[in-house]
Amino acid sequence: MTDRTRPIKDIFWILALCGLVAGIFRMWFGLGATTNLTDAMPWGLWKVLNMVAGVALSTSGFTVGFLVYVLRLERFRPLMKPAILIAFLGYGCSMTALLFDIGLPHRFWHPILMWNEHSFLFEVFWCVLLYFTITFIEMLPNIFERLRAERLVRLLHAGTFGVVIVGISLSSLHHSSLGSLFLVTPLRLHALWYSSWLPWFFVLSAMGGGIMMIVLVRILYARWYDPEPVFGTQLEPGVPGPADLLSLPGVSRGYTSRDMPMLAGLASIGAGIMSCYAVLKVVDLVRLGSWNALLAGTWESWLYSAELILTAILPIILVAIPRTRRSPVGLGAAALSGAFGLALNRLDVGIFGYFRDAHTVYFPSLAEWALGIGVIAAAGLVFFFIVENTAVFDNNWRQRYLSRGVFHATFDRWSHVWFAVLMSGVHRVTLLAVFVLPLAWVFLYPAYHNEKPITVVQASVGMDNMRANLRIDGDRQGVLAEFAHAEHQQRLGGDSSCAACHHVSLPGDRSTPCSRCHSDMIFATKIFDHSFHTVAVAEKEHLAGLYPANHSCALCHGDGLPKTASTVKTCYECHRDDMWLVGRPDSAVSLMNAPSFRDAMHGTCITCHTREKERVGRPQLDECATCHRSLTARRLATASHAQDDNALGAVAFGERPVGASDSGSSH
Amino acid sequence: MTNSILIDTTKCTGCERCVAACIDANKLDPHKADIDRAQTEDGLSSNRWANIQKVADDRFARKSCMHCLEPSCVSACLVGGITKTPEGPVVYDPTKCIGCRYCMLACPFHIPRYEWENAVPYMRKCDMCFERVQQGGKPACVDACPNGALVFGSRKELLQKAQEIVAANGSTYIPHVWGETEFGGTSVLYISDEDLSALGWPEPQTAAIPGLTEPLISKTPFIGLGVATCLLSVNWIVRRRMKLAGEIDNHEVERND
Amino acid sequence: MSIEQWIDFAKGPLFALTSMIMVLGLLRHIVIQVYELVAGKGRRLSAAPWRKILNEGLGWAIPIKQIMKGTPFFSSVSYLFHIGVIVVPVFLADHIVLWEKTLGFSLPSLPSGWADFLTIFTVACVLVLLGFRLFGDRQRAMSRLTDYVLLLLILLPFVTGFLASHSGMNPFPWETMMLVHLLSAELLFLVIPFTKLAHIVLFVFDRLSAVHWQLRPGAGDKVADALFGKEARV
Repeated sequence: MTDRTRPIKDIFWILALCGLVAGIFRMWFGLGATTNLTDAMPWGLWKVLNMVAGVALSTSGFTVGFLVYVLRLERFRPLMKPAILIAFLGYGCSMTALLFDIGLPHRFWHPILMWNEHSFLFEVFWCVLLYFTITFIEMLPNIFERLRAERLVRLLHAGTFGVVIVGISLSSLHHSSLGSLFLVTPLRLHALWYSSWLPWFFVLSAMGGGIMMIVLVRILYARWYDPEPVFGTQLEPGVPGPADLLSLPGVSRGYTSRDMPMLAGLASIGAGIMSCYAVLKVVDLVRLGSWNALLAGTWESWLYSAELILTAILPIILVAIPRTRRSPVGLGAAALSGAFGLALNRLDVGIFGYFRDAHTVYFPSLAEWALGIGVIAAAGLVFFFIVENTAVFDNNWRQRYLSRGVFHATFDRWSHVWFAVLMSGVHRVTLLAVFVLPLAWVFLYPAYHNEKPITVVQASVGMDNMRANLRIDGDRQGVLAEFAHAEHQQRLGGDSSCAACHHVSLPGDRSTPCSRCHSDMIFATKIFDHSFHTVAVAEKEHLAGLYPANHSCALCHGDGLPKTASTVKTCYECHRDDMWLVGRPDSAVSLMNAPSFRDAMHGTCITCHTREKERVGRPQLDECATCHRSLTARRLATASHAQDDNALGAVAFGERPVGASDSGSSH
Repeated sequence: MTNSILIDTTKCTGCERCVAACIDANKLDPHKADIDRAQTEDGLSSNRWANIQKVADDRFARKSCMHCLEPSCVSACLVGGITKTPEGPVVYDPTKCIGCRYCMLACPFHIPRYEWENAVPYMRKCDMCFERVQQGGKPACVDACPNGALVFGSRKELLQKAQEIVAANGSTYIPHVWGETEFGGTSVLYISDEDLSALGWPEPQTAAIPGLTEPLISKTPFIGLGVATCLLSVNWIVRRRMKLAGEIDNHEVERND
Repeated sequence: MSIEQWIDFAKGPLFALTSMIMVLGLLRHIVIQVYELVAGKGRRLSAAPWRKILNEGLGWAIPIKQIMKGTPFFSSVSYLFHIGVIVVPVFLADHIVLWEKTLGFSLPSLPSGWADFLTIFTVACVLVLLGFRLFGDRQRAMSRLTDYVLLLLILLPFVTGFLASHSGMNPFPWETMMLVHLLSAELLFLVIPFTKLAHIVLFVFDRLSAVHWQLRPGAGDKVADALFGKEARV
């Protein structure tokens, strides 16, 4: 028989390795470089998917424990161990992801010593920590059985009931607390999801979701390892089995395999809980009067509807129809839909519901996806390992272990290598790692992704016909600079004065706008065009008959030296004559980087104004408000400052009265 | 004595000297602060704790931490790293912080900012120059304001003063002191002749956020014990019914337990 | 993308990708070899025949026996070829700038005259070895297509690198040469762990472990056939 889990394990290994790389980058470069989290959206995928949704989907230990130990429904006992395994892995998963999510992972233990009992996050932390310990204790019998420590197993079994009761209480507490976490955001979270009933919604849906999850895992387990009890067709239809909640007494139940009646019963309970949850949610909408938001046709309302359909309506339909209820595939689809809907609800409450208030859309970065999914994949691998090596689902693990297929060496005709290396799992996984780790490294390496956000510089927003007055607002942030161009020109010496402010133009171009080179508002930008120079210099040298073609590198980089920016000679050495530089760029290397538009403008104006203020006797000449008229508007209105302002106006606009200026924003 | 800052937007010219003073006093990087001003929505960032915002045409207001009387961040922080001091400022203790960013989610004014670009990041926000206030001084921004748009003093007096100004100049000012009741009251008060909802002010009667969670969380131990009691009693009933119905024989009990 | 952007791409992500695949692939060979050697012996690292591994390594590093007794000319050419193939790429001045930038460590660099000489010398050695494969009876019988392809693949970065750094003799544009140089070197990185070139690390294990690249099944018979015209007598 072929091993059905092998491709899944390979995929999980690939995902887990990608997650490993992302985790290393997150620790090395920090949250900002690796995630798309911002001040507007401080909580992202790791918290919401791995913690809030992950914990919600691991409720199976709590619900099955309740059914088996409290209600003593013995027919669900075979699912007890798998349910605890799922809970253990789910909580482990969310705690691992949280370790990467918090900004200072080395302080993860702080909440143990430093208490703030007013914080719901504090309660969540403690409950999750304690509950994880409890699932671990409940997992121990499996491990001890494997190690043949019978006495310890008996000891642990004696305490099971107490542990289960404590576990269920803790569980119900922190599931409600996870909902209460979002109670602090009444003005931020979208009205469809914000409600004072959030804690109760979270508990109820987590109970349903946990049941859906255990049904799904049981069916998948059967598919992978042991199809007979679920997919089998040997039993006579209508065999008397455990009661099926939705079947009327006396109606033939029509199950043909051993475990399906149990799973159908469990799924019915889950779908029932989910329907109660859905009804309560709708009631809550009516109660809060936000039901019209559901009919508004916004994308939030569509998400909300999708959530309701997936969590409740689809599962209840699939479970209600006898045909799908009796088929493992139909039941699996119901469980998957319920689990998926639950996860969607958590993402809505934790992420999507905040977009409208944050005025931004958060989409997780590659590294966030890689780590978030990688942690889940790693948990999946642990699941396979535990299932294959201990008696979680059944006692067949030893036979499975012994009958595991061994890969045979093959000769690869193309590379002439013996692929004997594929003999065991270790070889297979290391071969995967050789390809996956470098690929993940290249795709997730933050330095290849972080493109500097560029503030686009735009020309002046307004000018009169003769360019006498310019209104410059290079980044369109609303802070205008009024520049009396004609007046400056006249004062600095008429037509010959351009050079006082304007410097180099591109060759053959008399009207290069400043923003051509000073193209970023904030950052300096690289303006040196290397390929242009290689061609131009080579052609020039060739025409002059000086060098053979293509020997132009040595002209700038020096012969025998490495050809890097650090060894190159300065631009000024060649461009001494044709570089018509005014005032500042004395070091020609700086020409490779043009200063930002703002620095260039400020530099040109402020240097001159500072120099001139003593001479013309106007101490305010180098202040912001001299040019940024919008900042002076308030002073104009205040009588006490009127004198001051007229003086400033006189400087900026000659002798014209300020009121006659064409600026609309001064009034 | 709870201190407070009163901001009169009619006197603010938007010169941003308060911001420059803040950057200087807190030893922030002015270049980074400039970049962040252009790149964030409200100009606040971990490098820029205060910013001048345009609230209307030619009307400006300083935005930074409001130092609420019942701060949501204080109640949210799971390690108790943020405290409301008796002097008024809400201060942050970087030695406790684990970086969960719940304070950022909890703050109704979106004030706490994170040092995203650092590998070892902390939350940053205005602390009303706590050390200067403790030594009897004024916050740097108040000292720097050339027009007297920012006034520092005890909250009670400032509130009274603000109400007097508003009442005396009824034609100019909107008859409301922002920060008096919003979210249970804040230690930064605004008076203005323009609506200030651009700064994130809600309806005047909006209740403090800790009021939404703290009544619930104080009941937690009882809820937990209640659930456990319910479970035990349900279990007791179930067992008894099973015993009465004779459904379990001794053999099964032994096997299952 | 312009050719400069292609060069940047080949220097940046592609270089990281291929060199990591090479390093990890070779590391994996070492791990698996050691694992196989100790697998039957309680999985203790000390159980591996470290002395034999050392002997094997030294034997290849100082091939006195081969040169003195076996095929002196072939062995010396092969030995010198290996020296050139290791020294030139690692200690070239231009490459050291690259190491500094990407890996953060510096090495003493080869004088440019020496680098030129060693490059030409290595190319010559490759040609001689190619001649052996083509015209020597025994070598030809053992050679397969991949052997020729790999030799030529080793030749390519040396030739293009030499031309790119000597623009006077380069009939092609510098950018094209550089791009071919980078891409061919990166292709070499990619194939190293998965072909017989893995003997970079496997040479010390060759006689000790059953798991390594091997000749085609029945290759020995073919060699014997070519030599003696009849089946091998072992």
